[in-house]
Amino acid sequence: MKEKDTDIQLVAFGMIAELLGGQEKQWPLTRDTDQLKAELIAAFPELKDLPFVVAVNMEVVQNNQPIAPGAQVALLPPYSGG
Amino acid sequence: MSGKKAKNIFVEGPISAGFIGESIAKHQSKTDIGAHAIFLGQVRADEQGGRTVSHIDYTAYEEMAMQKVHGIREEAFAAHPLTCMHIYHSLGTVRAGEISLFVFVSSPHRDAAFTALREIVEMIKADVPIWGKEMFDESEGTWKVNQ
Repeated sequence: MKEKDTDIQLVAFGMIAELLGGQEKQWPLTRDTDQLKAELIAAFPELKDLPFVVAVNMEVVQNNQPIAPGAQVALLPPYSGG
Repeated sequence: MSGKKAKNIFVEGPISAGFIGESIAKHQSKTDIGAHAIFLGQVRADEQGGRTVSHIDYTAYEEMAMQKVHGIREEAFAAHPLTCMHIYHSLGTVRAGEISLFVFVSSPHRDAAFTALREIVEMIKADVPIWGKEMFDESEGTWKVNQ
């Protein structure tokens, strides 16, 4: 199985990256962002209590959104630039 | 997103007074400008539970951040008669008292410069994926959240 075509490129930042143990991860393709969140929370239970939004290909998802193979999905905690 | 390539806004480490001074000097040839407005974000040595913040470690989702800043630029130019605009943000370590954000807008008159500056800084705080972890020399840090 070719990794690139069938996986999601998961990128995480801030406290989420610390929890996941790194900024970048391959994750098996899932149907949509709600399912991905459920899988992530199952794997990292502390994620349930952390505030974050999901961005698919650099667009923040408002509700739920399908995920295409090879998509870049980012987990973004509240911003604190400036 | 438009076809134009988003400009890199990131500077490794603090933004120096020299860099800011040179940016100002570069505008001497642009004689249609009548007003510059500058915002500088400086790292505060906040007290937290008896500990004092010594520095902030900044990280960013760089590609998305540059896209967002590109959008902020286009919005500000569409809304105000600006001559030019420059935005720089630090990555990595910035110590208390050092500058981590430099926003520089120029316009023929002060009204547009002041108004646009305020709007741009607020949009950067709210919409650009950058994170700062407040660090203490003696122990572990905590993640900042913009107010």
